[in-house]
Amino acid sequence: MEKQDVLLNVQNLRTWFNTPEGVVKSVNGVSFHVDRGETLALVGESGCGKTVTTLSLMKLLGKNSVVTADELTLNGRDIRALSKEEARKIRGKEISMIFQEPMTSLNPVYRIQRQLGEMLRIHNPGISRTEVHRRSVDILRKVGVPNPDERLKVFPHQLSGGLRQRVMIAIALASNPAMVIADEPTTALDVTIQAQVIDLLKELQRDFNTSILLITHDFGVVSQLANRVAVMYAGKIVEEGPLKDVIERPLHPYTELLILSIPGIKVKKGGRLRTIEGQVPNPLYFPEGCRFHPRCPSACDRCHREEPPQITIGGQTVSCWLRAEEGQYDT
Amino acid sequence: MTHDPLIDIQDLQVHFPIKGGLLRRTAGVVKAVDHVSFQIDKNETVGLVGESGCGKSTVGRAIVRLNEATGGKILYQDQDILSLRGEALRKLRHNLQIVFQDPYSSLNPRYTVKRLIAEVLTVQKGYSTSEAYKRVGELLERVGLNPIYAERYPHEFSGGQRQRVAIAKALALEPEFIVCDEAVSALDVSIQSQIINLLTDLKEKYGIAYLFISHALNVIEHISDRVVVMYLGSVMELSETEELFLHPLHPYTRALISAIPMLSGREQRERIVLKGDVPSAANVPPGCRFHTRCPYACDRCRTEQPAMRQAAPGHYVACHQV
Ligand SMILES: Nc1ncnc2c1ncn2[C@@H]1O[C@H](COP(=O)(O)OP(=O)(O)OP(=O)(O)O)[C@@H](O)[C@H]1O
Ligand SMILES: Nc1ncnc2c1ncn2[C@@H]1O[C@H](COP(=O)(O)OP(=O)(O)OP(=O)(O)O)[C@@H](O)[C@H]1O
Ligand code: SF4
Ligand code: SF4
Ligand SMILES: [Mg+2]
Ligand SMILES: [Mg+2]
Repeated sequence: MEKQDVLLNVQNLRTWFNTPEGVVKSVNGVSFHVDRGETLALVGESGCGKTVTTLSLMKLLGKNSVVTADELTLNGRDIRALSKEEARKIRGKEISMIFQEPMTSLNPVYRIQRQLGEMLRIHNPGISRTEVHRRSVDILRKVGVPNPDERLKVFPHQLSGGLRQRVMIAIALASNPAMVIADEPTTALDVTIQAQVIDLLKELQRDFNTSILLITHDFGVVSQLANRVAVMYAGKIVEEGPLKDVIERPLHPYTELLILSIPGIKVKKGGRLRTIEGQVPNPLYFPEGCRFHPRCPSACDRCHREEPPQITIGGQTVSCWLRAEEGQYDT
Repeated sequence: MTHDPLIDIQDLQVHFPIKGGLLRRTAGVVKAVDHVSFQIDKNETVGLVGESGCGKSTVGRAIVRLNEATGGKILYQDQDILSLRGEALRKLRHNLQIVFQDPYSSLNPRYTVKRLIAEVLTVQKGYSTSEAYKRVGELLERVGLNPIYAERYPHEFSGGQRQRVAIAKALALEPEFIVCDEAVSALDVSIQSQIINLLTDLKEKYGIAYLFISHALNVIEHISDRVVVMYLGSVMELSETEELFLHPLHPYTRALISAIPMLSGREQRERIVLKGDVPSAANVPPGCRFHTRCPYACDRCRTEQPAMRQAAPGHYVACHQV
């Protein structure tokens, strides 16, 4: 890929929180990039740092946070240097965010009409009222909202959960942003509507060359949308590579286990579902050596003591001692 | 099987007025829940499924009195929940809890978790502050969170952790019944499994009953003893879980089940694709409300509403053609 194709570039991102318990190191040296028109999926279990990573990019974290990075650029511009006000302008216009919890981004006191209209006007100043209405109806229909005319007139609490999620997606996409960050965008949706939303994201990508950073635990959604996959564990990216390679030939034991825990591999009814043994470690006390070693079925002595280096094997990168002999060390 | 209803929903109706025009007159009515009846037994998990907007959350919210019902009854301990006021209503809320999909809706953002949960215990259960704080730690541990998290505010958690806080809060009053409204939908598979396992353990240990609302049939199949299938505000089919998934009778249920992606251990059925949109709940079709999308609809379906009848022991269905 040529350098100018990179829309978002993140190098060595660290996000720490000062809390009464101590310093919580939620994101620890994460690097990735998203090209124009590309979808990168960020996957990993709950608490591994996915949402904090995206909130750091959007400057949406509270005062107790410390964000550092070697590089943090959107479209060649340094995000770190932006003032709060400049960052606010970029959100919505250049980057749009679909949040994990819909009510965080919908304003409870305004009708949908107004919230959607506002986004359309940001992108098309001077647009007429009838045009705003026409486009609002159009985009709601595209995200699978039945009777869009009726829905425009209601407040968020009058919508069902699934409708709320679709309305939020419509608002995020209304301004044709260059980059969409979608945090678990389709989880509240029926399969059929989920497919509709995925199609819409693809259409947007095709028509406007939109880049998507997709955060999800659903490998089904990943496989329909992503070009590349980055797997995150305990504040770090442990494997990254093209979708097909990662799914067909996961190099990291964690990636392999994640793929194995996809439901559909049925257990006896009422029995216990398969999970990856143990829990994501508390960011206050990460284990020594490889952070995955307490849960890793292949851990050896060295894994307990030394952190594995990042290794490139073909188009994939991985941080695991098992692969140390197979590829090239990255420096 | 002994029949021991804990919650008995009889002919429940919940309508929302639609305001329109300049004077904001009532221009119509959304029949979100339209004559729904079913029971939840002690220590039982009833799954509630159906497409988005069919009224699942509205049923759940009516049981815990977050929505006012338009008609019908909900019996609990021989009282009609819908007519309770004041002190009696407050007492009821100890025993009946709800966990939402969006955990922010039940967590005050300005309070630490410790204060959020302790307040429930001191105000509602008369605990002393120190007793309450001790109990907060235990509750957090029970949902798989480190007790040191008690000092944090809701926004300082990941999505999955926040949902566990909401569950810990619901458990604080040791309820007899919990409505789980899409409580695991936004969580990753491993946390989803952990929470489902947790709910199952609590059921076994404390005899809790659940109304488990979800659009995900695989989760419903796993966790439920019985399943209620809703469409456009009404119950279409109701049966024990295994029976329902093996022998779905209603055309709508069959379409839903055919859409479950690859469950191993079962042949992939031919996918039945429903045509058209779900009609508006403000404009319910006459006759069988499913007729506009049903592949088997006949003249009778368009005019006459099918009654709910028992097709096999414990298996109820509302369709003219079964
Ligand atoms: N403001 C904060 N203060 C302290 N710790 C925080 C804060 N926000 C997040 N954390 C912690 O950082 C870690 C990563 O959280 P993050 O929200 O990024 O997880 P996630 O990968 O998005 O998980 P999920 O899938 O559950 O949403 C968690 O352990 C969380 O408790
Ligand atoms: N307060 C309200 N005012 C007006 N209409 C409402 C209100 N609450 C719900 N509705 C409408 O009632 C219908 C049923 O909503 P409900 O939230 O029960 O659906 P649901 O089955 O839970 O769907 P989902 O899976 O999307 O959450 C929807 O058409 C919804 O828009
Ligand atoms: S480095 Fe060792 S502990 Fe870590 S994932 Fe690889 S084998 Fe497992
Ligand atoms: S009653 Fe008629 S329209 Fe309704 S589900 Fe049965 S066959 Fe279809
Ligand atoms: Mg998250
Ligand atoms: Mg709902």
